[in-house]
Amino acid sequence: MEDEDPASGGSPAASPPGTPEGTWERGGRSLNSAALAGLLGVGVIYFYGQSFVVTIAVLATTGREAFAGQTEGLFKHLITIAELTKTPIRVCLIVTQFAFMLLPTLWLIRRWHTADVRSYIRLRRCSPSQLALAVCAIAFLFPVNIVVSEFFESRLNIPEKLLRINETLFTASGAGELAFVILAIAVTPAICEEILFRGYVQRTLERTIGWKSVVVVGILFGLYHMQPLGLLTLSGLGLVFGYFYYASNSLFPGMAAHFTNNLLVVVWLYIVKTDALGSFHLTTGAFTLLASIALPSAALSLYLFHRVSTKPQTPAG
Amino acid sequence: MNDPEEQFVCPQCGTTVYEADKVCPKCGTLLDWSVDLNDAAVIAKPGMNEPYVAPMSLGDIFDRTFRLFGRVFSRSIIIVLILYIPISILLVKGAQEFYATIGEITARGQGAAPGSDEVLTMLGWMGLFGISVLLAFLASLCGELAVTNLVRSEFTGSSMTWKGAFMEGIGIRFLRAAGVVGLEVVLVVIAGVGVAVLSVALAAMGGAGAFAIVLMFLAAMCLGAFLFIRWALAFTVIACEDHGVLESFKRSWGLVSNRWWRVFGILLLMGLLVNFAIFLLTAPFTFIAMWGFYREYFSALSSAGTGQPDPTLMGKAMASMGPAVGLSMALNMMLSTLTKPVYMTVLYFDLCARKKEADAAYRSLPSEHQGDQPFRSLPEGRE
Repeated sequence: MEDEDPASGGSPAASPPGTPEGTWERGGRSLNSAALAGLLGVGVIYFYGQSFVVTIAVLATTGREAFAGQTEGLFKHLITIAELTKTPIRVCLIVTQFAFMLLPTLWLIRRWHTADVRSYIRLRRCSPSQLALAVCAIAFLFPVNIVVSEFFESRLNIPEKLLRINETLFTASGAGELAFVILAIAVTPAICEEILFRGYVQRTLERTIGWKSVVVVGILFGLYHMQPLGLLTLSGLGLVFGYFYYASNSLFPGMAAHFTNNLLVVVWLYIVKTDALGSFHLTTGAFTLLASIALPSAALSLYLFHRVSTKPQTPAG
Repeated sequence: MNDPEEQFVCPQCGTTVYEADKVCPKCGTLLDWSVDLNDAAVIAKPGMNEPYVAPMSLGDIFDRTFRLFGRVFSRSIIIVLILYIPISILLVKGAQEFYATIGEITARGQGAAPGSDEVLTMLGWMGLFGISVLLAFLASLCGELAVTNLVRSEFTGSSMTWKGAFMEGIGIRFLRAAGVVGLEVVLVVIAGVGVAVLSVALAAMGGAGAFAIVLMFLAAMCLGAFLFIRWALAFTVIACEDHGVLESFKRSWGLVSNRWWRVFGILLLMGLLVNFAIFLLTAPFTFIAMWGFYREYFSALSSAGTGQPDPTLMGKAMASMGPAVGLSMALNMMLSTLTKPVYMTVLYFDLCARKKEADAAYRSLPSEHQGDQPFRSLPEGRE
């Protein structure tokens, strides 16, 4: 079963006929090893590379201020640092995601698997209904994610100020800044993370374990973000993105869903920050009510997505 | 072979060896005394007691590591659980009580010195924690030996049970492995003390002395890295070849010879990948274990308003940190015991195969060309 490819009707080939195979394929090595090696290798490059670049950027921006005495209290000091460093960190996020996550992934696919990278990651068209349903499902899941996150935050008694400091990176205060934040937080991860997780890791695992790759990569997606409080929601989102990829045979529904989710977070924080809703505020109770209505709608969207997606099924998947 | 002074030749490099030698003192080849080492047929078949494995590329090493990890996982996990469950309980208890005592002292705030009774209690729990860390370290030695035995048996096609591997892990090889690690620790301590004493002496010389200290540190680090890589396989050699402590160092030295950068690169890469994987897997468990600490810590911050927390609440936070420290230590050691021996054993077999091929290539040359490049550097033990 190892080299069966559900996407191509169980044939062992990873690439179309005539396309040269990469070193891993020619060596007859385990595809599970390739997926794990790729994920860990890119992870090491990305996290160490990003830590280095961000540290340099933060030090260059704040200088000695980052280590200065906290005469005004810890929170005020952290707010000052967060405001000073938010723009360089956003730039670093964009640069490092493309340089340390996307490029190594594309290089690995080309070297290990096939020269036809586009086909391998399934960068192919999907139907407009699939795109629309993927976006709807994630939009309906948004209030549910908010409720789950707030549940954990309230159990931990995290100070409100600390939460706001944490959100500084994702919060825009004007239209121009909003466009930049959307580029850094919504567009970039939707491209880079989807190509790594779905386009490479899930695609490679799918060739050996079929549909189970959706579950495995969904959990890995949650773990990879290193946000223990968000592990549940991120893994849940990873499962949904993975299902879109698996069922549609295309990277685009997952990308659209990922972009939508992150966009909603950025826009929601922007609305709260700029007080765009005026006196209208959604309390936790209102969010819970909204989530209880949105959850069945998300389930319906997922069901409809399943109906419109006709993935060829094989014994491997 | 009753005369201890009777001379034999190493089948690998031709050096004179004696019956008391387990390995060739020059090239580090394992000597098989069940055959006549002076027999020409034996000399023509070097390294006969090592199983044949072809040299591996980096991709092959990762692939084999992953496959072997999966193949021995169920047996390895039994060994690791047997070894670590009792020690984890000790670790958690020691850390819990130690941090609880620190928490009590912290809660009184600055200026309130701890009483002698409190200090003694804290030292007592610290002692228990220290003993449990030492036991965990010994368990990791035993576990790594047992897992290496399992992986070795898969390589040689003689699949071992977990009981067999475990029993070998607690036998004489355990003492030898402890000897290897102990000797390394002693060397590090001696080097550290030597560098410290020299630094103090050089510091009195002013600017030139400071420059000399920096140079000395750099030299010490380079020498340390060189020796660390050269002896990196000593532990694995004990598990795979049943050598004594000094022979295993020699054997490791011989295996790494001429491949230092390759071994360095592979160990660095595998170490980074494995540690990253362990970090990803343990982060949620550590967070759950630290839940009590975070809750108390955030409560302390919230109550302070300005971000300067109340010492009483900080004391409570500190007290709730102990179990998490013990648990995360145990979890990290368990995962390291499951993974490190696998890639070390794969690397060992790769180096054995490379050494065998290099030596065979050298032997196939006419004698007048055996000093030519690129073969000059291949067999480190040639005459």
